[in-house]
Amino acid sequence: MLLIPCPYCGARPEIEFHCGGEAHIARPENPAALSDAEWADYLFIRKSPKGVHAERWLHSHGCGRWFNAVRNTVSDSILATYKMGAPRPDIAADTPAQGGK
Amino acid sequence: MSELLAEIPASALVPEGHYGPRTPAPGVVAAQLSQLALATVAVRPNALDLVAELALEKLGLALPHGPRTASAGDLTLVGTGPRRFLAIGEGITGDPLLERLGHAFGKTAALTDQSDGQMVIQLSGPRTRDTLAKLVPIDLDPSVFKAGDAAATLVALIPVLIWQADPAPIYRFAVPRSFTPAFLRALVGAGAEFGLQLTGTGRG
Repeated sequence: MLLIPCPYCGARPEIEFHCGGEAHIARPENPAALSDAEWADYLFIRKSPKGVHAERWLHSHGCGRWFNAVRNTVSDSILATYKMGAPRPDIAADTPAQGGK
Repeated sequence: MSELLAEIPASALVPEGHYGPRTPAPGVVAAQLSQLALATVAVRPNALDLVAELALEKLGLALPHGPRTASAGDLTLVGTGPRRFLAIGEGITGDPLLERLGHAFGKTAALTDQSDGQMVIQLSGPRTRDTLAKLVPIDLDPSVFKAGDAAATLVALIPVLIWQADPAPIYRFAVPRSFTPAFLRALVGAGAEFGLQLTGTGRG
């Protein structure tokens, strides 16, 4: 079972969480000024890297809070978790997993 | 529809009695506790420090930080999330509990009566941890989950709040009322091999 360290509750099993996709996507200041292609890029185009990826996660069956996690998509290990609004930490792919497997 | 809803919740609980092999003493004792009042306390943004002061001054409670419990007399607060608590009053009903909390916290927190919304199940007995190992996805070993610790988690896909009330060990679960029959069936299924005594649910 994958353990995910919630910034509020501590390490909890994966089944309590829900992944919310790529993190740090800011809504454009003035959507009306964008071209259709730029707007579609904001709405639909997401990164799918092989390696380190910053994602939003929801502790839906726990404290109910959203937070960000940096996950290695190759090993499926959570490298770091941090609260919403905090900047993405600079983390290498070979960082040891926080929650453990 | 309202008649249907009125029928579902507490009318189909698992009947009380002994489940599993007859041992000199039951391995697990499960009880549905009825003399409790429950209320959620949602603290307003930026008011947590003020509420902590008020709790200490008016209720004699040190507000729990994180998923833990704090008790003073017949009142217990369980941390369920950031700025969220479940208040439990023993031997009283919802209205006096809300009055007491409202008098203490004023407008710094939103209070919602949950006395009819959640049922509290208490587990004790020597094989309690063996039973819960089959139900609870978190580690309940006393080295990491001690008396006073709490967790909002899942049991048989049912969202529950669990806290350890005593190192004996005694665990308590707050379960949404309409999920309590399913919770009790999962509990009886997991605990029957150790001999499980269920009380407080009447004829089910």
